[in-house]
Amino acid sequence: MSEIKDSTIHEDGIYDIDKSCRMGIFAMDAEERLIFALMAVFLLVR
Amino acid sequence: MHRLNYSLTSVRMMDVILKKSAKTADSRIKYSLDIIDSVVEERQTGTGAAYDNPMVYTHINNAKKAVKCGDMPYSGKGVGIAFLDTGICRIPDFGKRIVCFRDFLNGKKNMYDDNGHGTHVTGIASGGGYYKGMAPQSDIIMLKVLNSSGQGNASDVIAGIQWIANNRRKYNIKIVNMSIGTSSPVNNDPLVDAVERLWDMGIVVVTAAGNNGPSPGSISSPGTSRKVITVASSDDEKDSGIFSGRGPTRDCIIKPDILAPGSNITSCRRTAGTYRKLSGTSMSAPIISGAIALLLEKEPELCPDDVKYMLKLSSDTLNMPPNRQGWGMLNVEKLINMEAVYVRNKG
Repeated sequence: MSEIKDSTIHEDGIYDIDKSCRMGIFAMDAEERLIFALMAVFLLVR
Repeated sequence: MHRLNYSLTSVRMMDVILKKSAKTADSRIKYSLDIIDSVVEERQTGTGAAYDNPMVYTHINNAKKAVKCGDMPYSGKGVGIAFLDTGICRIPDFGKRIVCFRDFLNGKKNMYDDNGHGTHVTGIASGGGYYKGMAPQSDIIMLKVLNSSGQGNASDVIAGIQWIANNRRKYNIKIVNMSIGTSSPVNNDPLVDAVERLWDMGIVVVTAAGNNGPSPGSISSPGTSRKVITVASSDDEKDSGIFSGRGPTRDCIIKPDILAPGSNITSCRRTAGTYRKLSGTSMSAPIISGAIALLLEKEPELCPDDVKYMLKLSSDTLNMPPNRQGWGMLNVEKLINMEAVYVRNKG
């Protein structure tokens, strides 16, 4: 009996992956942190 | 009760909240679990009266028609379904098929249900009285883990899951029905870990998607597990105004997996010969559990992945978005009549 090939069959279970699902990173470098802080200050002052 | 509603656009804030939640998830987890339903109408219908009463317009027999569960050569005989719920009352609909009752809250020996949810849910999957459930000869194992208000601690649910793992062979437990869940997910969710351990032991776990929809990412835990079968209601917004939880999960898995009717399902009350209607994904999940009991009576060698894959192949699309319908509506006729599919080569 041959193994079934199907995009739903994964090593850890039977499921579909949502390819339109947006993923993001949670890290910021120093420059981004500075921009973020300046934006926050700007919004507060405004 | 502690509820957290979130959308994928507020993931960063959610991450902070979850870090706080995770700190509290120690030996006794304090977030509460809800029974997943809401009473739309409660009506005492003496045996036989429901058919004559035009107000009772949907009941389990109609739900069975919707999922094409007509005359079946199978009844779930000998297949054990464990229910993690509010308890069960000994009524004639269940005959002598309640093979075990365990009370994880008060330690009582005699079976009881001080809420009624567990008795109703069990009737949908396993009732054998005036309203026949999906698998009317299946064996019932009831683990009381929620109180009279339909709430409880995850730690009691996990204790129940551990008990199932230890006693699965003694009671031939093949399916676990969880019409319960929490809308307060935590990182490394211990409930998800627990149900996935059962799954890996060869037990099919069926969970309700919850009623916290329709926003994306509103599936309740442990229905967020990629392994288990997560069930939403096929007819919720149309009939009951309840919205099933919708995917995707936080790790971008499409959920729910499958649909079954969940609006105005009539099933057992706590008093013999009386019935009531409830709506919600709590009612949809046991329809799937019962259907799986029929399948496992026919094909006892199937493992949980095989069962889930066969549900996928046999379900009918309702042309809804994937994160609303999963693979579509349960079709019992197709499920039972199809040849067994073994997803992975055996041993």
